[in-house]
Amino acid sequence: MSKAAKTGIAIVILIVIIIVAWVIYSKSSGGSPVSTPTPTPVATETPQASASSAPAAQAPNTAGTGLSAATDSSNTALDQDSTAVTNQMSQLSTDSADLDASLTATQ
Amino acid sequence: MNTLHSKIIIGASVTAAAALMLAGLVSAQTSATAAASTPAASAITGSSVSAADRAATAAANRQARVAARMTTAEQKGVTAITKRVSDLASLVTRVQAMKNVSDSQKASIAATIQNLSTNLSALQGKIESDTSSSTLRDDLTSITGSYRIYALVMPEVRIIASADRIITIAGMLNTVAAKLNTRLTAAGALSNLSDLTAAMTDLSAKTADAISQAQAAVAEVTPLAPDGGDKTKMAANTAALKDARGKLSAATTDLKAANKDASTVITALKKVKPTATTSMGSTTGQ
Repeated sequence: MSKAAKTGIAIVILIVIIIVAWVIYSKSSGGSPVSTPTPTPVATETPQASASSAPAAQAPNTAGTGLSAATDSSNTALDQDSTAVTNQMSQLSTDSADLDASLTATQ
Repeated sequence: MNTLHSKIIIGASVTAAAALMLAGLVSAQTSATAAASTPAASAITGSSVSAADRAATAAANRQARVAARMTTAEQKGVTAITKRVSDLASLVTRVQAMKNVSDSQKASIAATIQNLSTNLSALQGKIESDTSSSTLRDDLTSITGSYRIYALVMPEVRIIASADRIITIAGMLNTVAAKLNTRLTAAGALSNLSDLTAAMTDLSAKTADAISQAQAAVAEVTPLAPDGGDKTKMAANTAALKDARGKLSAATTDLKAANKDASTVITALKKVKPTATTSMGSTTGQ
């Protein structure tokens, strides 16, 4: 093998070593800043309505529902209470209809 | 955006028309001049102008079609956002009417909903100013994909609100049950006492189950988060929402049965002469 050929091979090996070293260095330092594509901004994931506010089981709040006084067990009071419960049941039906309507929507 | 698109369309149309008119005039003038000299030259010039006209017209038409499509898509997006913002506003109203959550919790939920509404309004502004069809397409997709107003937020909050009312009604029926127990105790031995007692037992069981079902429904939907395009997660969310809905249906059935029990006992007690233990108090307007 001629001296020129040996020199050529040495140069090629040197170049390969330099390239390998550069690649290793690039990876360890986070990659080339030139060729990294800018990620397309995506819509921020929307926080869902927090429902950490589970209604309490004990002593439900019945204020403003039309119930008579808790100590009044007269017929009149019971009639009033029945009407109040019926009204709330009616509003629950509305709630259910709204809920069903929202569930039928897909997106 | 509408204005911009209109300008683009009108501008394109005007440009095309002007080009056609100008080309026509030039063509006619050139043809007339050339016809006076050499018929062969006239034919060549006329053919060249005509090809340019067709290219200009085709380009203008393409531009107009793209602009029209963008306008239509943009209008659909604005309509979709407007409807969502409106529905979110009604949702806030419903949240404020909830009775069994604290004011701070209600404020937190309302603020979350309001935040969604604000983000949607910002998205609407972006859509209205989009000039790239690909950007517009991405923005339109994000109306549904990123927010899931109808697929998650609305049903989730509606479930919580319904559960809240169920618990309120159960509380009301429990209050009524306490009064009925007082009346039954005062009434003493009744011929149908066992039936009434059974009704009271059922009433109590049904209200307890209604509360339990409502709480389970809330617990089920609380951890749900937007799927962000993950179909598996979306399917899981949908399944959870439907299951929670089933729990609320069961709770509603419980309440109807409990209310029927209460009505049965009330009807029976009305036939019993009131005793001294029966308070004839006034309404407090609770």
